[in-house]
Amino acid sequence: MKKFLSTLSALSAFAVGASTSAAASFDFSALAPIVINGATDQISFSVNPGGYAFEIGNSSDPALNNYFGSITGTFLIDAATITGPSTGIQTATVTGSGLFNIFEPGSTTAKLSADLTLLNSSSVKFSPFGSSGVLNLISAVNLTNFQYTGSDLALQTLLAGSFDGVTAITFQFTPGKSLTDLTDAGAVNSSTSYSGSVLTQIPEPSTYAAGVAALSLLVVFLRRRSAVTL
Amino acid sequence: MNRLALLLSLFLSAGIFGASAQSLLPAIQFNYANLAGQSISIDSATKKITFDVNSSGAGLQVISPNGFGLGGLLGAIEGEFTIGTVTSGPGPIETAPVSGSGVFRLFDSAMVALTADLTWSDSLTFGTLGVLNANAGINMTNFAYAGSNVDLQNLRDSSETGVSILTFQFIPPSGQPARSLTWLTTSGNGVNETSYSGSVVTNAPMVVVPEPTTYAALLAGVVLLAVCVGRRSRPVVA
Repeated sequence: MKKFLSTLSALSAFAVGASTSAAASFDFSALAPIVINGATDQISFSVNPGGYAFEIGNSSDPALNNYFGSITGTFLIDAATITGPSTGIQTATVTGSGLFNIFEPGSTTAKLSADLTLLNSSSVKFSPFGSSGVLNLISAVNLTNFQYTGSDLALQTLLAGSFDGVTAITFQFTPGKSLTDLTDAGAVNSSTSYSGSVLTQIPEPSTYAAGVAALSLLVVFLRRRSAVTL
Repeated sequence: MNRLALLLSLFLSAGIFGASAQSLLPAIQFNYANLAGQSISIDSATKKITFDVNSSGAGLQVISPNGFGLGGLLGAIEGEFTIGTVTSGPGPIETAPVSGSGVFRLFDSAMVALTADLTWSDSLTFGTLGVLNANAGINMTNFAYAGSNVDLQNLRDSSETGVSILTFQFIPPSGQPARSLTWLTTSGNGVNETSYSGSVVTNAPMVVVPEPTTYAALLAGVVLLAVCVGRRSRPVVA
């Protein structure tokens, strides 16, 4: 009995600790600026007159190239968490959440969406002459809950290959602006261009197999227990 | 007379040295991002960095809004740049010099290009971030444009030199190492492509502008000169 439960828990742990495999990847390029509001410390992603913030390219599924998207929501640089700039690096926590959207061609409403967090930001190699920044420095999973109910084949394919995902966004300023500058209460809005990449992932088949095996064992176990009780 | 000449030369000298170098034109700043699908590529075997262009020769676009009228203009980065010896640290940062040169282009509607010579003096990676010209050194020179776009003419005239910083990002598959400079330049890791964005700020030509005190000194010098000449021309009384 003890051995059985150990096996079950091992399989369950394997299923929970799901190993994943890359499913889809693409890059995106800004069509309008990323804006950091010094008074509110809020990061927002502007849209162009067409209502789009970025365009997709270099996709593992060529059918997805040139699709447009947007990033909505409220993201805040927590100025109290700014560290550095030892060795020219500053980091800060980014709170809040939003949506990462990819629109059906020709639409600004029909879309695939995923919940998005930006986790942390860094200002690297800051100098008065130039600085560079990144959102999601550590490539942590920050895209979840992919949803799409439309009929566009490329978006359906992306949905099928996206259990969760990672996106990282980079930007730069010249003249340079540190995170302290960007979040200074007296700072004017700072806007610049950005680029990003997305990598989605799905659990490995072996993970599904382990999950099914664990469930099967659980059913057997419960049946045996009920048989003994009778 | 000798004393007068000395005073005169002192005032005129003060006038010359009181001049200061100033720019009469504002620095121009703009941001750009790659056109979708026109990537930055890093070849791990050759350590070369290149930038894609489409069939029209464009690979990037100036992001709107832009206060200098450049928003929406297409451009390109041409040339080959080579990543040198990688240095690790501080911490997880890796840096390397970048050699080679190329041309930064911005096109008008007739596809006549403003050009500037371009170098990337250094590269840096840190986590998902990659940077070219992280130290923000002057890396754009020799701005030239022969077209009729007023905003590009203004950019040419306001740009003796410029600084461009470019950022990009790579996300490694789960369980794989970050795409550091070491990884990106280790033969066998293929050609890695991604999107990029950049910012440019130009330095306007400097002109010598006399300080207000310089004008005062020159005026005093002229007055003294007039007095001197007047005295010399006065007839000597026997």
